[in-house]
Amino acid sequence: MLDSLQTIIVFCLYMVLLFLTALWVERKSARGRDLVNNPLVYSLSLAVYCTAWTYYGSVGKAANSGLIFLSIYLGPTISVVLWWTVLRKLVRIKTTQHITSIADFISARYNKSQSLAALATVMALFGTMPYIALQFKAVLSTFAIITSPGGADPSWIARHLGPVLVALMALFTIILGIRRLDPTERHPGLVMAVAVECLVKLMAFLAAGIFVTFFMFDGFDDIFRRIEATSPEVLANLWTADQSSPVLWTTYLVLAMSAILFLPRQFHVAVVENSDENHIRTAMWMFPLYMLLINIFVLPIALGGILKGYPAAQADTFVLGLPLAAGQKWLSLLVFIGGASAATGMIMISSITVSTMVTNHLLVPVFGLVKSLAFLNRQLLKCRWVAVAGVILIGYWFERQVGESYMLVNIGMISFAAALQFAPVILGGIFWRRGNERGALLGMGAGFAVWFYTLLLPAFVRSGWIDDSLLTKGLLGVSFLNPERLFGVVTLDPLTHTVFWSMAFNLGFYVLGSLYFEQSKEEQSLAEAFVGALTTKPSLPGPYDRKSYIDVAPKTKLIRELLTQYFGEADAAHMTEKCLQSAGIKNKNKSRISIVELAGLHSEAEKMLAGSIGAAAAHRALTLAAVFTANEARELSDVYAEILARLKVTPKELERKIDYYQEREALLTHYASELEQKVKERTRDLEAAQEELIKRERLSVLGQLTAIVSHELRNPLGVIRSSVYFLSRKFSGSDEKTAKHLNRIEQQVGLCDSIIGELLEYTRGRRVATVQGELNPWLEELLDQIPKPDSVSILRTLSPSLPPVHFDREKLRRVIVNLVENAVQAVVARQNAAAEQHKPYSPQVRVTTSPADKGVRIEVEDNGIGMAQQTADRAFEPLFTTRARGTGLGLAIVKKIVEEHGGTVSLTSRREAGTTLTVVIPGTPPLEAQKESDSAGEAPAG
Amino acid sequence: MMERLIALIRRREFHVFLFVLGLVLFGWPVITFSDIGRLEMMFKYLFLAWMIFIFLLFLVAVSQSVSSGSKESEEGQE
Repeated sequence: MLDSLQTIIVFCLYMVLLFLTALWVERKSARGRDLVNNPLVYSLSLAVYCTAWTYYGSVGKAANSGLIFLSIYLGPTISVVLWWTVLRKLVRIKTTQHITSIADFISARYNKSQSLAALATVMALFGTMPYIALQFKAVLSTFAIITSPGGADPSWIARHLGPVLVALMALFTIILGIRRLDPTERHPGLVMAVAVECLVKLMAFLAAGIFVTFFMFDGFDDIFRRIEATSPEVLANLWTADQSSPVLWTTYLVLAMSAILFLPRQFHVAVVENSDENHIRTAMWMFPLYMLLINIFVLPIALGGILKGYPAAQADTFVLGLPLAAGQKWLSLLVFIGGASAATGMIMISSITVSTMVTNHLLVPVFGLVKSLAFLNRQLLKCRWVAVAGVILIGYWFERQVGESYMLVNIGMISFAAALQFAPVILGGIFWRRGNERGALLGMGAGFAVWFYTLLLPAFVRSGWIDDSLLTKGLLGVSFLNPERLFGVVTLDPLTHTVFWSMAFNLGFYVLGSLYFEQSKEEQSLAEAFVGALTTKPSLPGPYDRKSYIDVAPKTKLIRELLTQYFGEADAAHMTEKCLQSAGIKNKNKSRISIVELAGLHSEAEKMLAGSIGAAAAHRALTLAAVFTANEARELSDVYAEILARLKVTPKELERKIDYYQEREALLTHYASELEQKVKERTRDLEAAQEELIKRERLSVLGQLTAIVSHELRNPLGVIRSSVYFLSRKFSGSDEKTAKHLNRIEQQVGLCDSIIGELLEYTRGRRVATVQGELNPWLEELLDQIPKPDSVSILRTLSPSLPPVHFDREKLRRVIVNLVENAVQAVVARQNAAAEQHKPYSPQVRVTTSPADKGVRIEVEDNGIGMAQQTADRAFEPLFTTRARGTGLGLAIVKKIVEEHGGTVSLTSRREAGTTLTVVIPGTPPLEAQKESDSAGEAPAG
Repeated sequence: MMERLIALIRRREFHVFLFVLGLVLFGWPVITFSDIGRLEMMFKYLFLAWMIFIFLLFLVAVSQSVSSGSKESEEGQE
């Protein structure tokens, strides 16, 4: 027997030690050193699964029911295999959605439903409160055992330990767990305390097991041999129990698989308190190993107790009782501390979890509904303190009231069955997009109702709180509604019966409800975020900050080989280098690249190839080249998904935005090409204008030069002409030869004078001075004056209805003379040619006038030699001529004068057919002429 | 060879296989195979199978460590 005071002091010291450890961790954490961010701590904290029920109850179960207790630990071991998918997903969602509890998780997934959260909270409350009571019972009863064995009266301390324990637990939990409101709901100090407690309870249990197995007996074989020799009926009974309950074994497996994650406290330590999802990897093997170790001595202790003559009914106390009976005080104390650790760890985590849920999902909505309580919204922290204290206190009160009841003894599996009701909505929520709020509400509600009716209510009956007619006759006397034989199912044990019916209702309503009711847009978005949680990573680095692990060399080789199929080896190598450079890989001189960089390289290679074989073929070639492995392709998808997640837009919205941007891009491209076209046109115009300007400048220079030269030439030409005149008078009547030469000189001088005149006219001609008048009389007079060979006749077709036009008589005279002379020369040339070839030809020049649109048209038509198209095209160019003796200014001067009149001139010609020149003179005076006439009409200033 | 083995263990299908294996090893009818009175044999079988299963879990965890070195998300392989 241990001294009560001594025991309580050791227990309190242990608690203080835990408290100090937790505080130290909290302080370290506040300074940025997170000691809990450790896979070992995470794995140990998960062992809060092994409560006092495990610690003491497993031995009791083993002594009475054989190995079935192992299924409680084998179930989680099996389900752990899927943690890398399931638990990692839950943790990922917790991080992204800032989940604080299992109720919060369910609510967040299903349209942030308050009703679902409230329902989950109530279910958690129902399942947890008696469980907390069970932990109190374990601590209090074991304290009584080690301080007053053999049923002696408990000491004063043992009698008053309960309130002390409640106070300690509440204080400890509040200080370490909810000293302040933390939006992440992570409690590093508390988690470290729980991890230490889990380590202590394992050590304590192993110590007890080793003592019983190897010190009280000679190992496992010795225990089995002795039990077989002395109590074969025990083995037979245990074996029969195991053999007869394969269904129950399976039920335990299923319940335990679900409980390891969906018991509120397990969800809290595994999901909410997880600081790094990589810790799951270690926990995947370390936690099952922990469970194996804590269970390996359970059966030997149970059998050892029986061998020592203790009744199997008291097997719950064997862990503590055997060392105590053997006089191992300190070992007994250690075992007690271990058991207390198991109990307090569970109480702390459960009370925090439940109080968080109660505050967030029951009290806060009530504060919102009842206006007089709205002020409490600012006192949430204190409300949570009260909630924690309340949960612990009610747990203790429950233990005091129903400590020995059927319900409390079986609360472990009852809680597990309650936690199972969360499984469909949570698993459906993270794997089934269609699952919706109403389906979840119906499913979970139905499952909870069935659980309550078929398992909890019978427990109340067996505890004596409700009349047993419910179990004997059924609800309202209808045996079909018997809670333990619902709808006539009589072959299943009560637990399996509940699991079967609750799951049938839960799953059925969840699936049918989800299929029947439509999801809102918000729900669809949430479902997408939850189901696709693993496609994005919540790590802080951006989507482009990816690890460089892909070898560049093989990828470069692939691309070079691909390019070699289309280009020469040397070119392919060069192009590959260019791709590497464009992708920014060569500059960094890296041997390994990230998936983002590989995507860049892939894109550059595709662009390079597309330039030669087209985009579609290039895309296909790159696809066939398989530059991305399956994993790399998936990671690239992750990058895009992460970008999408960061954009916080739904895929549909993104698609719409992409469409919009594509349209905008198309419009911009269209406008850009239009602008480009306009710029090109303007550039062309500018170039033409500049060319014209240059040409004019040149002509201007040429004009000035011509004017000077012409002026200087005309003087000597005048002297020559006078001298020729004098000589021709002097030698008149002399020899014919002299007269001929003198005549030739005179002609050539005349020609020179004419050329100079044309040059001066073109380069420095005076401006037009138009006068309104009738064209026909003037034209007839002029045509009469133009000299022509006799063989050529000038026909006139002058329209009598010509409107009066404004024209400069002198200038237009030059035009007509020029055109008629050209026509005459053309017909004469053809006449000469016809004469040489002895062909008949009748030379003809026709001058026609006719009214034109707001003016007069003058056509000079001949049937002369005509001209080639190339010549016709250039006919109006200054200095262009096909004649041996010509300045090439004739038609240029015509064009210039007509344009000065505001008119147009055109030419049509065909070789050996003739030429037609058409001049159109407008009826109104030209703008420049108008200005001049206007200014001339004004009175001179001054 | 080793790489292929790691790739196999990393695969999602392998995890499902292991899950089913766990159900077979620790579920009905395997738990009812031994004779009456052979609790010891069942005890030894269960713990031995449990240890082997934990070793396989260890390999799965290690393979995920290897894969996380090369790739964070294994969605398609799980």
